[in-house]
Amino acid sequence: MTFYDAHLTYGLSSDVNLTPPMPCPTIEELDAALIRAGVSGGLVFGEAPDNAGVVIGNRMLAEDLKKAKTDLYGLYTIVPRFTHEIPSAADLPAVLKRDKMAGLRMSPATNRWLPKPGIIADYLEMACELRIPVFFDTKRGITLGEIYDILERFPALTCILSYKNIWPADRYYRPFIAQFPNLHMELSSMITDQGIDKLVDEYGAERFLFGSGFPWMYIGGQQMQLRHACISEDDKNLIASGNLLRLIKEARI
Amino acid sequence: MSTYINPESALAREFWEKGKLESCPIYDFHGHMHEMFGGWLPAGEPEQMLDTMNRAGIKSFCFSSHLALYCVEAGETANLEPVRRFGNPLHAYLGVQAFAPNAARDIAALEANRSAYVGCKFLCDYHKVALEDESLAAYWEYLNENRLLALCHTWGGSPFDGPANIRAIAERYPNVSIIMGHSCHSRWDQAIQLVKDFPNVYIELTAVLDDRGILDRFVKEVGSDHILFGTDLPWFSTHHAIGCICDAEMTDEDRHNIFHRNGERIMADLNARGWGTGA
Repeated sequence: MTFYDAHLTYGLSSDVNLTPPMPCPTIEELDAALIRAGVSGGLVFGEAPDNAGVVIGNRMLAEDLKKAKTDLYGLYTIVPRFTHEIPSAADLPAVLKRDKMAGLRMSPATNRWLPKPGIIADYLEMACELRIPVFFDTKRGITLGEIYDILERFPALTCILSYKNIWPADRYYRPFIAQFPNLHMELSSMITDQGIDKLVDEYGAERFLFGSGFPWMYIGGQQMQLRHACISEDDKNLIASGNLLRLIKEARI
Repeated sequence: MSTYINPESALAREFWEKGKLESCPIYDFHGHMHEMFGGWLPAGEPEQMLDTMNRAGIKSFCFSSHLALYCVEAGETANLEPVRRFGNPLHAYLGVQAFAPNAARDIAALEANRSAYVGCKFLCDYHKVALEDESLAAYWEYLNENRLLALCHTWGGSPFDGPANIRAIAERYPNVSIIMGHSCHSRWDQAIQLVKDFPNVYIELTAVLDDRGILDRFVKEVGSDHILFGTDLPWFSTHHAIGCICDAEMTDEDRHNIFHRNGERIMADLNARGWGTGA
């Protein structure tokens, strides 16, 4: 199996409560962990945008990606356009291309803005048009309710839902998968017994992405769960890497 | 590029290839069964769980049904019926309904069904009754007298089943094997200290393995012979837990201890005294 990991982070937070027990401060250490686990690449963001600042954080990620030995793609952190800190929606695709960024992410609570559809509408319209994935991470200051409001306004948005809660939560996330056809779910917190099998049965493998949540979580846990899931080998390969690589390729950056 | 989760572990490679190993069976000390109010469990019925157990090589599974823990009307039927119907690998913890304890009834059930039971399950943080509350004393005395297991849900900041509550019980009842379900979650230092202070206290891994690095630290600080495998099945995937343990920093000897050797030792002692032998 070839693995591409849809949920990777690195860097140190200045809040010790937001630091994992075994942190991964640098992209070099992330690379080493991925090589040990047999992961070829994936989507990554650093702690810096949520810790130092969005401008410097995006720049640091771009520089770090140049050093990576694995095939890593960045997630560019957005904030509302009104303060002119990041490129406009019209200018951003060229920056993403230049910096090997495959998608957008946001951390509204930490960066202190309201994640309402109208507030970031220009970036979401651009993402819809160019099929650029938007990574929604409930661990990073956006709630499922806020994500739902955004997707009701932009139902065709290509997005990746990362729902940080290992409690069996199909009642929460299945409505998203059922209602929004371009929503994909990364599986780092989906460790419910036989959960992957049942999701694939109901919605097809194309909607799910292997994600480890490293360094907060062990890469090997989700790898072993997927390896021995009761789904076809083709479906396993789609989840392990095929779907994420398709999303990256389909983005018109 | 490595092909496996952890190129330094032969066990990781074998689990990766085969999914289950005769040379490394799994003893799971923290399980449940049936429907649960707070979420949908796609494989919560015993037949579905046995499928998972077979695919992961689970040789022993100690559980307490959600219904036995929460529902007075269902009670111990929810535990005993599956054990009688399927036998091994199922072994039951009597579900202590601390919100409405009935020790006389429950001790009679334990006495009448020794082959089905291995001990009691306490869910005190949910029931809002402290582990050492006087209303539960008869259970603890019986467990102590019979050298049985007590699987306790433990959570770091809880005034009902936090580290201080475990300490109080461990001091008072040295013959009970106290399994700290979730290992006093997030108060890892105190869980480690409890294992160092009391030979009858065990670390258990349910909801620990989604925090990378904690298991590594447990093994480093207390060794592997007081760590028990657990998944909350049907909550969490057995293979996910196996993968985490294969990924964590320890030797394959440590992994063998956690997966089965510690469990074999505990179950052999219980079985020799007629507990948990099967239906």
